[in-house]
Amino acid sequence: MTQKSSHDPNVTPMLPKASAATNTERESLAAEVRKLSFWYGETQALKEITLPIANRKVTALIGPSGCGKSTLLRSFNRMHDLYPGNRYGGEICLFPENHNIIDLDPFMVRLRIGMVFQKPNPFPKSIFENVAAGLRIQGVQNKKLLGDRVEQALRNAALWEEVKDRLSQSAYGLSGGQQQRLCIARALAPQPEILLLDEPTSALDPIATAKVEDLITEIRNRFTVIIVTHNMQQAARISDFTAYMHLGKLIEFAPTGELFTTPQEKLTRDYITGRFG
Amino acid sequence: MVKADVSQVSLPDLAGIVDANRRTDLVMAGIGISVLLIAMSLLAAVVIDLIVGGWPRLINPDFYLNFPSRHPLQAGIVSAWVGTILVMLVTAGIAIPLGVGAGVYLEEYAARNWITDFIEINVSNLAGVPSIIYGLLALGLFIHGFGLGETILTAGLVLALLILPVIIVSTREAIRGIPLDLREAAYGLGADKWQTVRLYVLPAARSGILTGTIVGLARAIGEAAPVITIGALTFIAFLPPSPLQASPPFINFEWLESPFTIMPIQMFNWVSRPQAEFHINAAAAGVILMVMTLAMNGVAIWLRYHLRRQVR
Repeated sequence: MTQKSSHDPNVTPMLPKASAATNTERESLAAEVRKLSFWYGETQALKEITLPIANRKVTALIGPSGCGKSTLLRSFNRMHDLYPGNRYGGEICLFPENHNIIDLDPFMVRLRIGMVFQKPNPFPKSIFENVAAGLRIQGVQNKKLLGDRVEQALRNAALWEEVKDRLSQSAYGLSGGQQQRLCIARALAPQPEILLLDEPTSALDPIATAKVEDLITEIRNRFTVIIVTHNMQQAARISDFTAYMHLGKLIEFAPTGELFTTPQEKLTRDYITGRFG
Repeated sequence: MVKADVSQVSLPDLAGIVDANRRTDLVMAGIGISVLLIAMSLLAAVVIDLIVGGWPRLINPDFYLNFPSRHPLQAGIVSAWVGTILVMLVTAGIAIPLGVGAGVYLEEYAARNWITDFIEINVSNLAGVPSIIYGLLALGLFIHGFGLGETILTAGLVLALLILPVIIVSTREAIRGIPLDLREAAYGLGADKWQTVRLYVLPAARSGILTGTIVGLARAIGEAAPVITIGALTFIAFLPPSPLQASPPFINFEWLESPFTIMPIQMFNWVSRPQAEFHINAAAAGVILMVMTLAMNGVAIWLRYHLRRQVR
């Protein structure tokens, strides 16, 4: 039940191509996970995951709690390296260079792959400094460039109109939904190649969630997005591809429409029809 | 039918439980308040006793401006309070960077192994070592070993050593209190460890670090034993050279090598005199010492409030 046709390595390069016809001039894959395993100490959390990540598309990871979807997401920017005892096996290839993320310097990886977390976690600084943080870390000093990039990121995150008159005020004065969009702007400002979203709306109310979903839809053609979500409707609404995971294994991967309408695996079918999870 | 039975049986029981809980609350509150009252009234008794005892000298400006004297009515505390302030400057200047640095290292950088554990245990134990032991250490190491003499520098060093564990432990606590998601946010943007610590962790932890630092300094300001051990003078009729001067470079460090006395020693000296008049001076000096400590705590509270408002 683990390996199945729709995510067979031989088939995957075709997948994004088929549905990304409008962007044929672009590289079709931003990254590809190849037989990735992961251990928290002795516990194996990911089991030989193989998964293509389409360029400038939204890929959703869904599955019941403990299925490893967040673990997989956090492997993309090597977040696991912050804690002792974690171990990777396999590869995550980052295109176009075809470098293995697992072998790269984790700090270098994080400069290229942005992340937004479950709970909004702005820094205790001004709105401007929050968005500029990534650029400052990269050593950008030029005020004009900082200002431009901050504005651009805030516009991308659909927050500019709400905060343009209070950029110097504390980010803690924003509402939870605004804080999360600020965190998205913060991740977008350094113009990452891939944006990781780890259940970005689970701490937000429905209206704030709708705004975040709108902004993801807005940026989907400009950034490669991988989103972990508990909410299947959300995955169906905003993603181009969906991967269903169960107990550390990838069960099924397909274009979102196909996965939700004609799931090939019994486990996927049970999950999306709400029989468990 | 069953439902009605349940409500009839359980409602009075619930009321009884709530009443019992409320009684327990009242009793505990009563015990708490009386313990607090006993502690507060003891403290108030000491303070009032000192103020009343030292009043004749406290209201006399000469007391603050005169050097010690063998005539109780002319004796003042100028050399003592100046000495205390200068020694505290040295202590803070040494203990804060060292203590915060060590705390950051232990919490953020040190590998988790037996050496780190060993250092941690020893740091915690150092906080409990009697202050006179530090005095003996300073006498052997700073005075006889390094030849620093009975100077302000030596006193500042020994008091810095004394409060170092307090600052290290409180720095670590403050850093540990910073939520993980703040660090992950910084690391997620590609920050390295030092950027994360310097730009995000330390600013968020500074009010906690500051509290620990002031608690440490407040302890140091009242210490007499280690400073007596290193041989501070008890009778001194001149001030150290001023740290500030009119001609460039405007500051000098000669004061570091000057002999000195500090408030607790001055007080101790007067208390041990047989003449009752000196006891008035001692009481007055005690009040001033307490005012200095309270002022320091006040500054800490103000700073903390200010910093926290900046952060939020």
